[in-house]
Amino acid sequence: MEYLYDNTFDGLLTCLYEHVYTEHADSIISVRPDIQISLGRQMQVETDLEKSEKVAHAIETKISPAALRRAYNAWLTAEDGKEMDVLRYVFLGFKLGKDIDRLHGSETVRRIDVLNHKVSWEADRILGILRFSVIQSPQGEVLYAAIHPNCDLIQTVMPHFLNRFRQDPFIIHDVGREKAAFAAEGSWVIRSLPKDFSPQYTPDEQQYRELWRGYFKTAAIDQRRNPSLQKHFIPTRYWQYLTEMQ
Amino acid sequence: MQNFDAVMEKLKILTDAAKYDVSCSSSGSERRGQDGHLGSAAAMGICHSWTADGRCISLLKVLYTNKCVYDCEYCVNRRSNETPRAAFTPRELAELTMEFYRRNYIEGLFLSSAVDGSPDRTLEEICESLRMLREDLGFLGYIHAKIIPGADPAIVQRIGMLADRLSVNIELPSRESLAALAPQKKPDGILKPMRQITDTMEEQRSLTGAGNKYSKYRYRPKQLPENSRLMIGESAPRHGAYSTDQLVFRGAGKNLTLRQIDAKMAIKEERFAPAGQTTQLMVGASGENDAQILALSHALYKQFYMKRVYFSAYIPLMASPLLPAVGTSVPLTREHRLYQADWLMRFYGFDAGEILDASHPNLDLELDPKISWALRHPEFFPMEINRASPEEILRIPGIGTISAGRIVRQRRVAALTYDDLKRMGVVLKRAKYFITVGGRYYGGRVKEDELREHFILQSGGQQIDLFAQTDPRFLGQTNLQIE
Repeated sequence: MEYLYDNTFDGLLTCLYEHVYTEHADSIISVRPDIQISLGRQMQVETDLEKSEKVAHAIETKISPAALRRAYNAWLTAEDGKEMDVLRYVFLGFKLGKDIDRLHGSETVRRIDVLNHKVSWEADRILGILRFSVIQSPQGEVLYAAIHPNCDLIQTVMPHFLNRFRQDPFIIHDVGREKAAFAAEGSWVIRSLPKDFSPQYTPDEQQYRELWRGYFKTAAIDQRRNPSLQKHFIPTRYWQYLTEMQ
Repeated sequence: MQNFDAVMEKLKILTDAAKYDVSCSSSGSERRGQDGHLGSAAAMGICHSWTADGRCISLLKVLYTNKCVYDCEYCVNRRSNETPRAAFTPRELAELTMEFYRRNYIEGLFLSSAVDGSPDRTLEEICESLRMLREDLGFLGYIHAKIIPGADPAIVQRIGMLADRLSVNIELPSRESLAALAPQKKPDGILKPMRQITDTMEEQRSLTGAGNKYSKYRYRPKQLPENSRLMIGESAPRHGAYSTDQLVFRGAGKNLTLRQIDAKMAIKEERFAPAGQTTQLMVGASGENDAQILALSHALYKQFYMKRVYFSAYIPLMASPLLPAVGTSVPLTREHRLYQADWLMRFYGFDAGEILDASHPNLDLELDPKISWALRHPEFFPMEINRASPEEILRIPGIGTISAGRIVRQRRVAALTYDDLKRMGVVLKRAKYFITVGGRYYGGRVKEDELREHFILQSGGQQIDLFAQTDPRFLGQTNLQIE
């Protein structure tokens, strides 16, 4: 049976529920307009918060709270087949209990390790390479940053920036997913924001960008040039939104 | 901005003059944001960009001024060098830092300086810039301040209360080369402020309770930040990839339980130089061998509780009869090997004397020091992976702290197979010659005396390749750092 779900984590947990109580899932895919109905047998899984809550609770108590977090992080990646990876991990966990995360040699656990690493690596990177610009709004100055990460990690990086920017309201815009987190005075929401959002910068903004580029260029030591090492640390797919690379 | 051109000019001159200092990490301090302030500090440090030489930018690293009364042979800022000179004002510097920080370009400020007039006069200016940042502008980001040798203890104390990390650079790794190449700097002038910093940090830690001279600044976080236990262990990813009762490696074979780590976190918020002190040794400008350099850095870790001893490959920029000629190649591989050796001392339980001894005064440039050690000590190998202690496992080439942790964790619930090791991230093309798994040896028929050639071939014998595979942390540029 092929499961279709609405691309939410609760939806995925509902699928796990149905996997036990309805019929086994052979694959789980999110409903997207570009996917045609295949010939196989399909089931549209309606996200049910009661069911997903039950599954989450079971994971927390029968495996461990860390396992739920790991399942969630794995789901944040953009990898194909991540849903079935999570399913296999969770049901192996129900068998083995909290010891599951010690089994680094298991294919299933290893896969979840890899997916988790993708998310944590990218989230760490985003904390550093996200660039704010100061924009004008009727209410005053606002910080705005556009990012385009592989993983869906706005909510993962928000606590860091909320803690750091207590005074400035700010917006972090995931351009690829066309959504943004808006934060002011300690609270924040995620709303959709179109790709082509183009803000009005403050007059000084361009000058500070120039200064930063000047600094960036000067700080490199010619005798140690090593562009491949540089690309190893910031792959070129991130350069588009980096002030110093423009 | 009215004085844009002037600031740009100064920024370029003073960045150019500061870039040869290696240290850039922003780790070791954990500080939450506060209302009315800007910024926070993250214990694991954050890198914000990487320049074309592959080094990270974490802090805005500039000199306060490059006007210098000293004439050290090796230095681009020496008095007799004809180069444009400039100096910031405290306000310019503080505002630039705030604006960069706000845009998330940087994690904080690394302020160093040439010696303008006298060490104390220069440090007064530095102190004023930092005070303005912290007190007038409410900056809570990371600050690393350089202390100039020969500084007055009073000013060191004041700067220490404003900065997260302090450093006094040794640069020349022996008294003789210091006397020859930097005659105006005295060994005592370097060691005294270092001693003072260490003593003050110890005093601060030993004083508890209300009313001591550091107490009004201390606070205990009400609630430990999530995943705080993971920030201590270099090996563990930050986003909760491991269960709570796991073993976290910190240093050689030492494992800390969660409770011990929490106890460490609770005293993290210190006022005087909470991120400790570091120093830098220059490699290749003077004639010391690697054994001397490692012995010195070992002593620095032991006696001064240094967080890091950085190595900086000397880049010949100054024509001098006492130094390698301008254009001589930069000893990057040697620097890299020294960092690897440094890692072995700090996280793998090796002593300086084990890595190098009288018969091997220099590190092997073709092989990393861990393999070199293993090849010199066949009596320890092969080790049975299912029985060896964590300390022993850390000595196997191809196994790092992360995979050693995985091996030890899995062993508690299930014996390891060879395929398990592959999935755990063990580099088997190196490790297989040094281990048995369940009693079986997988190294094939390569003879002991052929192994060296074999490994050199494997690494491609090329520097560029080595760097591509290098653990980024070895470059000394990283945020990941066990403190």
